Amino acid sequence: MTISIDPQNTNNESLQPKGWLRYFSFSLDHKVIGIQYLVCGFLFYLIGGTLASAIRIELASPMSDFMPRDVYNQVLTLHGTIMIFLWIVPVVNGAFGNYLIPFYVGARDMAFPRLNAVAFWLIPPSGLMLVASYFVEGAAQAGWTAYPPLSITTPQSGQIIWILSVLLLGGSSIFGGINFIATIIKLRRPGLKLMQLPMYCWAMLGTSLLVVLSTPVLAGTLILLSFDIIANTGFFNPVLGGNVVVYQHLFWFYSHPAVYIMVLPAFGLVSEILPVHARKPLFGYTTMVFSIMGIVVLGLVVWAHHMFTSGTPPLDEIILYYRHSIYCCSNRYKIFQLGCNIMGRKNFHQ
Amino acid sequence: MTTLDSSKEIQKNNSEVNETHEDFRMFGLITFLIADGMTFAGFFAAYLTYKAVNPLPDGAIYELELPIPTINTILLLVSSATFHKAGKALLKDKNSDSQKWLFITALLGIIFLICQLFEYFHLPFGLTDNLFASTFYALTGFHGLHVTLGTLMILIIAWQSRINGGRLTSQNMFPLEAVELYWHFVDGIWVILFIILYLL
Amino acid sequence: MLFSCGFIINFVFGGITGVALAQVPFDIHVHDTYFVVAHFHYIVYGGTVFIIFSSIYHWFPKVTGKMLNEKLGILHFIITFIGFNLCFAPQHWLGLNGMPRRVAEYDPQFQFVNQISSIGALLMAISTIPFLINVFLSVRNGKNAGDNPWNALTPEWLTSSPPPVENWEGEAPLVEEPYGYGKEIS
Repeated sequence: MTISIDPQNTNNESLQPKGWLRYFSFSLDHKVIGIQYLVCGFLFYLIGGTLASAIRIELASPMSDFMPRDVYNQVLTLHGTIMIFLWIVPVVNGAFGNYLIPFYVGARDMAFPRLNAVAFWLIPPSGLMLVASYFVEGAAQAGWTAYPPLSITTPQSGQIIWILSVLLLGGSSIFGGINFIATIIKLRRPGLKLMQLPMYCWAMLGTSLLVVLSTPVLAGTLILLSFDIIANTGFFNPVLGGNVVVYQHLFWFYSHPAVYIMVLPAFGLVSEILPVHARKPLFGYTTMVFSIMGIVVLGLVVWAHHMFTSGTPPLDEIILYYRHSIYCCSNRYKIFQLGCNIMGRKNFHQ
Repeated sequence: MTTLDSSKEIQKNNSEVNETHEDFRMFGLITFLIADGMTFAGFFAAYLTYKAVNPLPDGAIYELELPIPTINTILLLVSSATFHKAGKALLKDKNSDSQKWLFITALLGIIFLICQLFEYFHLPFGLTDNLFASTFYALTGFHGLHVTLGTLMILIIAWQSRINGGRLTSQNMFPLEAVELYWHFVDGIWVILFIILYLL
Repeated sequence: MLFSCGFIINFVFGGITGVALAQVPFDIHVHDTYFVVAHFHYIVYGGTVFIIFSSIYHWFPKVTGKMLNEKLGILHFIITFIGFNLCFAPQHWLGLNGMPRRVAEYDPQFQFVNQISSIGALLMAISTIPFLINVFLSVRNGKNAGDNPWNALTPEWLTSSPPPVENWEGEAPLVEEPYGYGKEIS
């Protein structure tokens, strides 16, 4: 099916700046925003990649001769944060999601175009803020997890800026998540059923649910952490009667789903690309949808396996262990399905 | 000819999209409130864990006076009801009634905030005294922030529902409905907070 | 396409190490070692970033209307794949032998493996160069792609490339079977 391009119909386009310029404007078009996400993310990827190279150069020799130890810690923190919050999460959710989801649901734009633009334009300023936190006195050096005894006892002004920018990025991804959920559920073209959606929509739906349910907890945690730093309260400071493990629980309640926020859309994308190039129908669509939803549910309850060495009671560990095994099954299932998808090509000749 | 038709069709589609937009906005707001609720859930979880795990130092005061928070609870519940009245009045195109109820709601919100501040000034502990005090102030403060925002929004929509030149009519109910939902949400959070923080 | 295959290999590997990491006694042994670093990077780089690149290759014709150069793409993939595995596979070994993560200094016995890993990282850094060249050259004077270069069935290929502002001319097409490839071709 081909659609001829109609010159009369492009009068909408004249409202928008053209050419390269439109990628720097406050556009409401989901395609432009998607590309903005991608390019912005890629620039931060280059920064993060440079930092990674610096880390590896440092590690090429046993002594710390390329940079002093605290600089190493700062670089490590910045590398982790940039790569996670400014490259993978925005690109794999924001960029491809914004570009593809409206096409897949047969819509003309996202459900909330302005919210979408806000969600994108929060990213460059907070990204710059994150990079700038490296240059102020006492840059963040507690790793991307910012575990409290370290993050509240080391020099702190950089850590505050770090927290603020991560809060902004969290807000940005919450807005994005709301937008995706509304678009996929409410903005579908009439006649398009949920089970007819391409796989990527399902993956993004799952991801957005995770974002909406878990990112606010991270925000709350970071607010408490910043109170510890600014107002000298003792939420996570053992000296003042606080509890460090609570931070770890709250943090991993976000950050374990965050791994799936990063990986689920990739599942979705790969299940778009593989069938096209293998010229094969997607293997096991329904089961795949359920395994995505299973990942969402289980992803929210297995966070504690990141904290085995922080003194969880043994019974809990056993429960978690079984829970985790179930969880891995649903994951493996997905991968084997994709494997089948490629292998299956041999049986068919195009 | 065909091009004209198709561009008309696009316009028609667009207007349809605009009409159904009401629905999405409510949906988006609900999603946002779920997210906001998760923030509170994180705070509550932290508070309960502290209560269960972390012993307070000897001599720490953690008993709270009940009268003021009880008054506050009643204030917020009543304000939910008055807000509902405002919505009903606007539905019947009685803008001045609606405005009156909205102002009463905002007044209740402001009294709530004043009571809260009064309580803060008369509490026997400060923000950094002990863990319980910190959590107490964090929870009530975060909730108070929500109440402040809600009151401001109520004042804005009260201004918008004025009779001459106001944007809110029985056809354009969305701002009022959105703020109402938000306000009920804040009330609900307060009830949970009251039970967990004061009664438990 | 190649990137996707690479994804599956890497992800299976990363996933297996993840299962291993979830076993409690084992985790207490390798906690905070380079094993965790290797696992994490296998998932995130080997999983997600490979997919990001393969998606860029896949949807570039849609976004710009131009094809990317295939030879440069394959070069990019090969360098990235070798560099990636050279960088992170040795880190499993490092972690099992007890090298802690997040520290700038380490025991000299790990130096050789760390140097291999560093070489891999630099290869990965170099591998972005062909990609960037490829993108810039293709935007300037790539082959014209046409609306549907991959003969795909999902809805975004049914509009022109690059797509118009409101996505569709007229009503949006209804795609009931986005993956009906076998039927379509026979």
